[in-house]
Amino acid sequence: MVNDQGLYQASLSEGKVSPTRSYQLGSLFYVAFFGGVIALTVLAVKNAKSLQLNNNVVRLMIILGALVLVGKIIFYYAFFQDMIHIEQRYIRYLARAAEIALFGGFYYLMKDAFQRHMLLHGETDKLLKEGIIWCLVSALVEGIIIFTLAAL
Amino acid sequence: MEEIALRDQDSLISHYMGMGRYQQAINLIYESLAVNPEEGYLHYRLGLCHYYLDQLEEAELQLANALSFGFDREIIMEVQGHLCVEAGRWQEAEEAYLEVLRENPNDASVHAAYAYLMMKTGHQKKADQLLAAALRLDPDNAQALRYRFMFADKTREEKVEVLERYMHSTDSDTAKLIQLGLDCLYTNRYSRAREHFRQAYLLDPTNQNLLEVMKSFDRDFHPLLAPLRVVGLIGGPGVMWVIGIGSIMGTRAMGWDKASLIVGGIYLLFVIYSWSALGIVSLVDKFRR
Repeated sequence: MVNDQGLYQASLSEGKVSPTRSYQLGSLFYVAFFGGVIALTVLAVKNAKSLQLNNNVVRLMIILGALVLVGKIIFYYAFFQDMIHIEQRYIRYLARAAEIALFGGFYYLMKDAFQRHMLLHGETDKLLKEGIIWCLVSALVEGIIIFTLAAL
Repeated sequence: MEEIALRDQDSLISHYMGMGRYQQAINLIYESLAVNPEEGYLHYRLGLCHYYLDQLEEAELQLANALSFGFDREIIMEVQGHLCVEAGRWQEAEEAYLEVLRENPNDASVHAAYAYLMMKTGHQKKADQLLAAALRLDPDNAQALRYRFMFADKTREEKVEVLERYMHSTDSDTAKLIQLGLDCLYTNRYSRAREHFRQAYLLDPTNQNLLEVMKSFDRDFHPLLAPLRVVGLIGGPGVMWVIGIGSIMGTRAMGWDKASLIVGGIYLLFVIYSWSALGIVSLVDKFRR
């Protein structure tokens, strides 16, 4: 907490410069669509931290991501154990829908901070390379999970 | 006779600067400098004009001249601070502003400028406090109100109130129109935003930034892109996706396989369109020019 005296003391003299950074917020949609919940949550949380969002908001995002992941696992488990009788592809559609909804939630949580960032700095980081990497990682991890569940 | 002529020249320079015609002002200043080459005030104004024209090196040079010819150091340092912010020399900017504030602790505008520097360098809390201090010192200060409107985390009602106060401030008409335009952008009123920016541009046609804004508006408002704007209105590509997939699944679930195929086809066409529309419009524009 900066008191009145601290207001007029140099804050930058030790090079403590930490401007916000961000990806194009809308591009996270593609991560949600092609990468799934793990990729989306990782990159969204990273973005939230770069935007210097409140720690509680960041924790909320992690929790929401975890919930969707757990939900996905439960559904796949139920499917493989023949507890529910719908075609596998509908599970995938449902999973995608949940991931898109998760993106919507993350977007809503970050959009004001993103707007301020754009006004102050006007530039965003490129998402492509990291996005692809995390989509692949996410697909791999989910593949392993599904494989394990199916084998149970 | 000469003194009256010089005073007239001075008013003329002020007039041009007030209108934003900085290049013309510069020409006049050089005329005055021919008579009074060591007049610090003239060098200061020269520095100011170059700063507004984004000619930072020239500006810094002239400010240094002004300093060496004995012009008021604090006035110079304030502009030097702005210069350093534009150039990304954060520490120097801070030193400059702090120096001015030591001499003039009640200067609301410098508080506001320092706040902007703090925002740019990631010290948001301090920036908020500085803006609050600025408005305590001078509740009608244009810069403080402008920054408060643009950057403070406020509810819509509070933002509207700040905007109203800002509109009554002493900022130029161009600046006010730009803020109105920004306000419309935030609330997704794109055509109104464009109108405000257009008015601002008409008032200040030499402003490169405004020119860029107008160009990007023209590009984004191409009639070919109308469906994309509709998508933006209903909440973005995510919502479109949900509607699309939902309709496909829905028609299948009802057993209407043919309808499902048709819906699927329409959705696919739309996806292709949305990915290529911007690229096509840019190409079309390039060919026309």
